[in-house]
Amino acid sequence: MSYPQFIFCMFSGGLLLAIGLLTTTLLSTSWFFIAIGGSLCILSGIQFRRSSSALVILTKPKSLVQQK
Amino acid sequence: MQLDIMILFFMLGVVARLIGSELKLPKGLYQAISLFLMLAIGLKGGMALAEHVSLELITQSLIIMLLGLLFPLIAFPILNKIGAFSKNDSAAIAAHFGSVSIGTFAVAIALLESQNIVYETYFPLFVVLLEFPAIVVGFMLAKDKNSNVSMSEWGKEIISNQSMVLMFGGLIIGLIAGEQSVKVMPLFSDLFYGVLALFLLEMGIVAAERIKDLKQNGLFLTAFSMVMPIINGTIGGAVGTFLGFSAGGIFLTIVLSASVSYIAVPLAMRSLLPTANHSLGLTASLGVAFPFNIVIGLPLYWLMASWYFNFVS
Repeated sequence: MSYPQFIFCMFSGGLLLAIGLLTTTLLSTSWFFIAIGGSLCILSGIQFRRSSSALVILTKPKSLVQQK
Repeated sequence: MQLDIMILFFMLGVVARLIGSELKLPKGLYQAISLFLMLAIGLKGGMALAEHVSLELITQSLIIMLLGLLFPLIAFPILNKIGAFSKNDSAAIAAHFGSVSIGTFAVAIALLESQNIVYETYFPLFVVLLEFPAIVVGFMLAKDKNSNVSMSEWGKEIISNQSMVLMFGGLIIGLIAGEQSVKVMPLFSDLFYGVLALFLLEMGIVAAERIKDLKQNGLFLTAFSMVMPIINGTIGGAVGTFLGFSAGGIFLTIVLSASVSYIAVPLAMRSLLPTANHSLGLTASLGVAFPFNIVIGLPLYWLMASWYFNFVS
């Protein structure tokens, strides 16, 4: 999973989560939004951490990042 | 709104497939059901249109059609730049999200009628009109200099598409026949909900089959297929409010904007963009967007419609 895809998935998960939390008293299906949004955030986090894109960002030495 | 009986039929189909049941409607029956629903919606729209033809309706129709042009243009860069799908694949998927789902629309109508909520009865006209702009935009987005599909070919593809023929044909029949349409209504009106229940049972089975494909196509497509309907629906709701629709009408505009095609666009894209991976669009549409819309989307869309309507009034 690339970095832009990860950001998009987190945004989507966050949006669904927010809809679910904001409508708990208004919607009979708000817990679906909470469950799906939460799962999207967690799964995209896991998938991104496992991907090579994350390895580049997470394991790059500080000095290299600063040089760039 | 509580879960409708129609949605329960859909869920039965999903559960049946997930537990490994062999349940499947015969192919011919499924085709007959699809044709019946398209014709019934077209006829109802035509009858309503006969009573409401006006300059205002033409203006509304043109603005609604602009939505069909806009949605693929929003979806395409997300798929192409962020999702890293090829130009052809992005265009084909974007076209699905710009067009409409007759099944989702039928469920929305059933919900409104079961709750006795008033809506503009000529909405089936918008369903027909929203079918093709996305196909045109999708094709234009993917078209390159080397493309050998001519303008007349895609024009023919759109016009001869069976859903277009049936819905538009039904609309014209209803418009010309007017009150005479009552003669055929025992078939197309009274049986509508029973047939829709069977249709949703089959769609549940198909959606559950498509869920497996998501393992290959990834989390991005899943997220995209759930967020795009909400984005499109929000825009559609604003347009419906601007056009002065009732709360039911705004709800239907949101549903039409949020729904994703799984009949007309896949058929058209297959012949217009033969090199695209068509399972991506169908998986996004049937595996994610359709179940998302009818199971958890519709109550949200009704809430949005109420907010929009209250905001104006």
